[in-house]
Amino acid sequence: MSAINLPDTLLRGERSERTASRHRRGSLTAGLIVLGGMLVFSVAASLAGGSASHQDLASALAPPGHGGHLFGADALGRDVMSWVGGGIRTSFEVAVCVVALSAAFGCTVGILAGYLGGWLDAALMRIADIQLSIPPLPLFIAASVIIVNNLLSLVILISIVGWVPYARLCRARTLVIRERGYVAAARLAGRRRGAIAVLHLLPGLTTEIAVLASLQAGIALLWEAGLSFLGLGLQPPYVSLGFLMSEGKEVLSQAWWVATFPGIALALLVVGFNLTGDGIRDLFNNDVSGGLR
Amino acid sequence: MTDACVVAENLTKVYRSGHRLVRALDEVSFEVQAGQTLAVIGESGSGKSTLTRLITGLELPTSGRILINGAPARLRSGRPASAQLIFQDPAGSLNPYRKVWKSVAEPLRHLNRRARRSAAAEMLVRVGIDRDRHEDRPGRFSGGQLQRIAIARTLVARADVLLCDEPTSALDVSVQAQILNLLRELQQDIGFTCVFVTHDLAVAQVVADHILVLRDGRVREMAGAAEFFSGPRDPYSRALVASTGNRRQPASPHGEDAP
Amino acid sequence: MTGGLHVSNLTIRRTGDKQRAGPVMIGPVSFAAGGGSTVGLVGETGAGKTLVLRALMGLLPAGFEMAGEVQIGADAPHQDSAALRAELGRRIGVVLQSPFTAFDPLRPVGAQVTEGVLRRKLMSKVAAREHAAGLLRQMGFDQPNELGKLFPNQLSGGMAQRIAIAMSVMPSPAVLLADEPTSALDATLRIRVLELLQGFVRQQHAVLVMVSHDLGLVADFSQQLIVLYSGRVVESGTAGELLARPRHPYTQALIACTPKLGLDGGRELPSIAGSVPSPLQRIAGCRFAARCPIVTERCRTEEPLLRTVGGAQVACHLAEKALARHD
Repeated sequence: MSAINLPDTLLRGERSERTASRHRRGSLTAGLIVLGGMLVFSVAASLAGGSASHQDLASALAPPGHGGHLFGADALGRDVMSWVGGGIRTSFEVAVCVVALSAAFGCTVGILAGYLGGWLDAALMRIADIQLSIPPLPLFIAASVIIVNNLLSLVILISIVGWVPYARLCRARTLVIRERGYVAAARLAGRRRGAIAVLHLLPGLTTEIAVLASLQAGIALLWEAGLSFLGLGLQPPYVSLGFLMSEGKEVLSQAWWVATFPGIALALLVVGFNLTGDGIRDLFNNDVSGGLR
Repeated sequence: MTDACVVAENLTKVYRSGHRLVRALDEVSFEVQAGQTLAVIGESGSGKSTLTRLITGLELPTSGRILINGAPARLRSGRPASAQLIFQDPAGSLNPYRKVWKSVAEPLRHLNRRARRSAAAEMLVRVGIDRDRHEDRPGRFSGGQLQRIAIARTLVARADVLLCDEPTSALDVSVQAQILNLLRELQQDIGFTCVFVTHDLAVAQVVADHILVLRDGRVREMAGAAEFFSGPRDPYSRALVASTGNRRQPASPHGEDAP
Repeated sequence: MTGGLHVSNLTIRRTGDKQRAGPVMIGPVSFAAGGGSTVGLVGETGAGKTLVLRALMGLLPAGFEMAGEVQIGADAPHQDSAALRAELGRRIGVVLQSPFTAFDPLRPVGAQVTEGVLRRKLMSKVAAREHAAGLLRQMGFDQPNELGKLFPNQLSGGMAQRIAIAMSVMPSPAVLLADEPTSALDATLRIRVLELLQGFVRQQHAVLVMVSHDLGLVADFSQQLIVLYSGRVVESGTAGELLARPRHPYTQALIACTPKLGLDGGRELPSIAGSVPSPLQRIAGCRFAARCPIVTERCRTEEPLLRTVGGAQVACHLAEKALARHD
């Protein structure tokens, strides 16, 4: 990127500016459409079919289309479509709760560490490091006694595993924002530190937190599904996509539909959250730097 | 006989940068009389920005002290500081997410909403921002307007001392003239003491009653403005004056094939 | 020697939709500069001077297009952005305001200085290194090889800008475009850096087009001055004449409100009321009319065109009167 190549840099900048503005709206719309679609499907499925846990042994392992089961049925005659619909709802619940909890905790830690600095910063960041060094799966296995079939404990444990990225993000951004003139001006105006954190630091963080949250939502979903798949998470009466997939694994050669439909739903959910996150990021990045200089 | 409003006694500030200790300020002492303007002249690295942070109380000196109207400069939450600051970057000094009247009203949290709103509005109008712009956010204003808004905020705080850290360096020349005139007019009306930090000697001459030259954290010269500009004594000061005023005028075109 | 730069009726407009271009936003700008001379492009924020420079580089942002002719030396004139872009790094060099944006922070500066000419295969590796060393010595560095090993974060602003200039002039460009090359530097360094730029320009018989908001500084180092206001050229002529006897009320006001050392006290700085209209705004008549001290009705309805008034070009109906007022 020398000054003679500076034109190259400017050139590359021009080209990517043009393509980016085209893609910018695309990601966000796509993401929201996917997520919206999944929610609509989930509502429709529960209105159309019966309860997800209703067992109808007569139609055990019925292929898609038979006996009123659009997506087929599993070994116990449960309607796969209703299950997928219910599973999507469970996934959303878990994702939203985990994100809310981990973001609240992580961001508070991050802002405190970044704004107050000193020994508090060092201590909090060491705790974060320790948290990161604990491998999640053994932790879940060890905690399986509490979390099996307990939605609240599962949410709390996944949140414990997932708060550190928020803390790191908030701390890094806070370190930058606190040097801005308006933060100093607020101090000179007599504002207390707490008020400064909420009024002046937080607004500058919301976009990035939103992006991180979208991506973390997908990760939380995958944890829940994975744990339920392994039998460590949600079992009936809870309706979990992961649980159905583990059932489906047993009958994969005879009845592919039992594992495949929940699998597709899970993948779409994660993709939807990721696209939304990308879209938010692109949208706000563009707002900040766009326009003529 | 006016009392000294701002008194600096042997101000020293030492930072740790990596493994090194940096002396940003070294035994700096001076006085400013109430209602007067001291221009602090220095280049980057001279310690001038550190000085503004010490005077406002945003940072504490390593040794020495700074007194404003006899009391040490210290920030107390709940009350606006008695020394307020105008920053070099006008956009950075206002929260981009808040309406400008709210930013201006920030020092007035002890009043109810209506009183705050009208006090802010009055001050904004006084610095030249029309009422129909008060609900806008900083992004919709030019650099000069933002600096006016920042000035309004400091006035609302009723500060005894106004510190200006290169307030016009980022502004166009015609806007700079407007801001400097505004500051002078307000100082005549309200009577605050001003410490004006700049690297531009010509600007310093316009605003200053007294001049303080800083280099590498030390005071190189301090004198009344008239005295200073007619003939500075310190060699560094003289070099500064020489590099600013009356540079060579182009006598004839240098290039061949001149149009 | 193929020196010189000839710009004819350079205009910039927004790209309209449906194939219809928007109204002219900036320009027309025309000037002719001989090799070895400097053209100063002066104006305040929003006047459009950066866009003019970007047009000359062939790098207008998306949504803008240029028209007009740009002729470098005796080459065939270029008429569009793509043609000018192709000359970047060969016949056209660029120096920007912030010295550090010119460098990749992760690589030593020495390699970066030679990178451009090597990539464009303008000289061999050995020749490039020697040429770079020579340029760096001219810029005041005794140990160019040692200097080359440093990373950008180890350099001061003044050092970085001097190296950036060396980098830009490596291919011996015929035209050097500088956008506020000294605004980010301390006062004492500014003159040194400008003198270095001038030295190169004279030596290489190149043309320097320098954009600045600092009228005084640019006037000292330019032979020609062009004053832009809200996208229009309001005055253009030789630097000495323009400063001594400005003909446009805006130029006069600009000079008057610039603080100058040495004047007796005079605490009240003359200023210009109001603010610069955006070049995008449609205005009938003279764009300075709203702020002009000698405005007449004609000024509000009829836009003044550039005309010659005693050795300079001015866009003002009342240029003679303004001149008389000034003298």
